Amino acid sequence: MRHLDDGQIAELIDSADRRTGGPADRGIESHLSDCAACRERVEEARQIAARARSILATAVPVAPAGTVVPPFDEILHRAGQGRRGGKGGGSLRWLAWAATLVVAGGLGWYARGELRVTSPRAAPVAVSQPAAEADAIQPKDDERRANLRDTAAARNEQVARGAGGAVAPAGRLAEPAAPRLEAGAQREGLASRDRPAEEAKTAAAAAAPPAPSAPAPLPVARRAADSGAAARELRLRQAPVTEAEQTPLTLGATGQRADVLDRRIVTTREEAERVMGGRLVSLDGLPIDTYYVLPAEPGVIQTEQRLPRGGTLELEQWRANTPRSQVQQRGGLFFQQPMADSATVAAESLQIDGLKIVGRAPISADSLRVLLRRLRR
Amino acid sequence: MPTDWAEVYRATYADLVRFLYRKVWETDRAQDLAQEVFVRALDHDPDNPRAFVFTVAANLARDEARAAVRQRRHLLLIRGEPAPSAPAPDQELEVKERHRVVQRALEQLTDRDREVLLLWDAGFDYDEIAAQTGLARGAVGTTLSRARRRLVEAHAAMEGRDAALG
Repeated sequence: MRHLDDGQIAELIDSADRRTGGPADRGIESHLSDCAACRERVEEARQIAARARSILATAVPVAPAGTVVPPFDEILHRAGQGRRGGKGGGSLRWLAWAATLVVAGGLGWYARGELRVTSPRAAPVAVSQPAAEADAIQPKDDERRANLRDTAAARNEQVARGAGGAVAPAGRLAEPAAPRLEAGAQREGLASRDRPAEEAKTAAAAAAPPAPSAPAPLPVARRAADSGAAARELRLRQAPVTEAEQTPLTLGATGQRADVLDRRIVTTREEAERVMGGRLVSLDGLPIDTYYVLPAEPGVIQTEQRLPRGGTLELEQWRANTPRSQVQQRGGLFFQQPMADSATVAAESLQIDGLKIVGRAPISADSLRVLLRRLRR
Repeated sequence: MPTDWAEVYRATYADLVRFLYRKVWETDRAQDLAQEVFVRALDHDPDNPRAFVFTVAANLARDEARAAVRQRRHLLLIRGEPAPSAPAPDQELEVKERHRVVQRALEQLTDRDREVLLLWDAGFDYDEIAAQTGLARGAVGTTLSRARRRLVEAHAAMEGRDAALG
């Protein structure tokens, strides 16, 4: 057998010290009986081990008399204190973190001036833009109503004349001077899109024809090739003008719109739902100004709901199974025109119970999402 | 059967304080850490309670050593204050000197050798030392043999140098 290595020797002396029975290999003992060198190494290792233990024994703590082993109750008491302290400290830490997060979130929300909904029914809304900015986007309500009242009166008169037998060719229901004036006003309105808002408002007001003396027919039917659309348009025009039509038509919350003449006012919600073929969704608590339908896209309804601090929430909605045009597939029918103030207008699309909805409002995207989550049929 | 920590405490406390003392070299601190070990152990029910408390003790002592580096100045101030039941000044000085030599001798060892040596001195068998340190069972004897020899040699060197200095 080979000579023993240090590990075997160490185990030999340590197992002997502990009286736990020696190494399993009895060959070690027989080797030691024959090998004087290994016996010498074992003896040396035993002396080193004894010396090491004595060295370590000199380095024992100097404990004050009577306190060598404190009562175990002290451990239990200390453990209880630790648990109480730990739990309390943990709770306080969590509370501190929660408070910090709440304060930080509140400050962030406030700093961003986000829209905040506090009541599910009344829907008081805080608009992100300052009031002055909102006013710059759209004309004053009174001014808008005055303009549109004139326009509606002129259109009633035109419809009456058309019903009397003088039906103009499709696409040109009224001729020539007054429409030119109206078209001029529209062009003026479009051209002013890039001007400052005040300038645009002035231009629109100046271009509006005086209702009693010069009734202005509404220029209509840009899509004259669509005879079906023209027929629907005519039916809608022959409907009696109601208070709903006195509401803003040509100027919405988002400023001048090029597509405004392509849509028609629907008198009632029931009528709008009949046109769309299902129940409309709207935001509870906000008055609905107008229901619009686009003759070229039957089944698509747009509603306008006034926001408490100015501006309008526009909702375009149609049944998901409604055949959709290319325009619709791009995400919205009425909203294709770029807005002059697009930086302040958000648009979101969603689907509720088989109804596809596109919403737009002069508020932040986050605020709009909050509003749209509250939509109900 | 749940661990009878009171019994483990009575049987292990002195060994644990000694084990910790050779790591922190502060009696009060070693006792405090030993109690802290049992405070932490109460929530556990290990298979080998003795090995478990020494494992916790080793971890605590390691944390303590790191903290001591930061608090060295403060600890020195505390150590300078005489305890009410402390030994007489001349005895205390002699004890401190002995401990200082052992401490410096132990510092000559590698961390693993020192750990194996202290566990062996605390009464651990080879299997427990292997489990505690992560060494292979067959490497414990070799490591321990080397650690003991280095301690003896380092201690002799320290004593010889101190004697030469006078």
